[in-house]
Amino acid sequence: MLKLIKFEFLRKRMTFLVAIAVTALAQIYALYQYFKIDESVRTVINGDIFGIFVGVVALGFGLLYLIDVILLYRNDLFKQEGYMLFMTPHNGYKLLGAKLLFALLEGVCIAATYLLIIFLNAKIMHMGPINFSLSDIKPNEWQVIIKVLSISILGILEFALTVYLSFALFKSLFNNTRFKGLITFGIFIVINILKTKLVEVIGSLLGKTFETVNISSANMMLESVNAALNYGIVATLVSAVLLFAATGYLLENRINL
Amino acid sequence: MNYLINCINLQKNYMSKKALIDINLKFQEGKIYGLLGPNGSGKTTLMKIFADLHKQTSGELVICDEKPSHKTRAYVAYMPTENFIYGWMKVKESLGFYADMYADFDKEKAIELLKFMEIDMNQKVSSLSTGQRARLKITLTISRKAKIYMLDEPLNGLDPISRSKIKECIIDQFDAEGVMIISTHLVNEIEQILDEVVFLDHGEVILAGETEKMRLEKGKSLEEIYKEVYGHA
Amino acid sequence: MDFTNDTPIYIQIMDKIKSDIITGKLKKGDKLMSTRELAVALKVNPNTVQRVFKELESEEICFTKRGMGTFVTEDDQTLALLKTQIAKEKIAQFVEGMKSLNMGFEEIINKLKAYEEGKL
Repeated sequence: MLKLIKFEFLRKRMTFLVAIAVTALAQIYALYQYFKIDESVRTVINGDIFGIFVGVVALGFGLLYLIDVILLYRNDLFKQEGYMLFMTPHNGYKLLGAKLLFALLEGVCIAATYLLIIFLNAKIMHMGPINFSLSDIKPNEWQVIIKVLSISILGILEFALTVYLSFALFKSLFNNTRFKGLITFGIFIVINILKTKLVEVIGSLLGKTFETVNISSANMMLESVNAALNYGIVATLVSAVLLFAATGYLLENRINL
Repeated sequence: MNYLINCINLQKNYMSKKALIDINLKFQEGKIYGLLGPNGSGKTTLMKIFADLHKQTSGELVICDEKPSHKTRAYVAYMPTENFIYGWMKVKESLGFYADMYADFDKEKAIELLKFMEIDMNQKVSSLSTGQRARLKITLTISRKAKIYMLDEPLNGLDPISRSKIKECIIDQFDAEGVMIISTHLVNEIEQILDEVVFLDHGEVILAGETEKMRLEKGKSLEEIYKEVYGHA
Repeated sequence: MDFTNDTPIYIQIMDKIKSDIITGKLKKGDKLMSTRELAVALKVNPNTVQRVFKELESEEICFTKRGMGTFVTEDDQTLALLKTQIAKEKIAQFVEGMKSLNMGFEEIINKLKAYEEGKL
């Protein structure tokens, strides 16, 4: 398992270096633009700028991460070089597991980098009264931050697994057919419809939905967010595990590589 | 006699297309087999099923008393015809990868073979020429101490020097306890190497047997038999 | 080495080794190449070469020392016999060919003499 993760890391080392370099350059450029703004204006709108900055960076990182995680599997499944990995005497679950574990590690690293960038910029931009200081954040706020990041990473992984399963199904059923992308996308849509149906069925079986949970504990904002996040994490996790099992099964028993 | 691969009524369909039809073959320890036939005759599909990369639609397949799975992959050394070595790797790293993944990989032997193949350890795989890549592929595959070796088109599209080196490597590294299966349509290049041959056409075995017997019976070289069987040059 | 399709490859290799012995390329007691080396040199299957050595041994033209390799016999009588045997084969082949040209035995001998004197 470690060797598989080591391999994934070796493969990505150049990408990581480039990503770090680009991030650093973009950061310098952003700060340069920021300090070009006249100081009197700057101090007034720096809160807005910071808000946009936080959002844009989160969106950018999340998107790149998502693409990267999908490619992590797609490239091996659809490119000739993937044989080198899939020929090794590891079972399908292990091969897939190593990729996910690596993706998870990558996600944690990206999240940490994100927090670091936000924190640094908050310091540099002198975010006045709402100064970002680690000690200012209350423990339960920390909890929410960590949970939001976890659910983001989990959500991306779960989404990626849905895509993985579409790839695996395509590869199990078809062989070098035309309209590869179209068919895979069709499968992806079908899986998503099935997922929605499943959530509905489970929801009606349990007799409550996430909304009712929220409303019942609406007296305290943070608490309700916390509860919603908990349910979200559990639901995403369950879905991810199911998708993982299905994809691993196909990889081990059915797929035509 | 010890049969390392045994397939009974093996069948493979892709949707409605039949890729392999009713294949019954046994592969015996200590022999080199040729899998012959034009493109699309099913050679690669058969090898991929043996390598547990594709799954048969029906029929039975036993590899060293086991059903093919990731476990059999541990002693089946398969060399796909594709360029399957990651281009971003250095030659050195591709050796490291094999050493990490296969317990039966002999790194010392691989290093020695690379010298013979005249490949620089520090070169990047993507910068190797076609001939060098093919030589690296065979080096990695043959440096495993596997029970079953399968080489898919090892000589295809290569210069004479690469072909000669690869042939020498195959002969020199062949071991009497294993089975070697070589697919090719360049029959005259390797006919002296093959103990037995299997002719495939449109997914079916149309002729199989000992090379020597076949040659003597027909008084023709394997290449002439090939041309006769497939009815074109 | 080029091979023909009318004789098994192992016999063709045996013939080559025998003729090397007679012409003196291989001397009595000389060590032969190993199975692997010879297979690589001739680009043939190692199993074929193994059979060559087995057959040569059963004809007592070669012998194997455990862990040392295969050697040409040191028995002069066997070597002389080998030469006679091959000569006989060659003559039989030659006479067969001439007979197929409808030549009688006398005529063959006359042709041979003429050939030797350069008049053919």
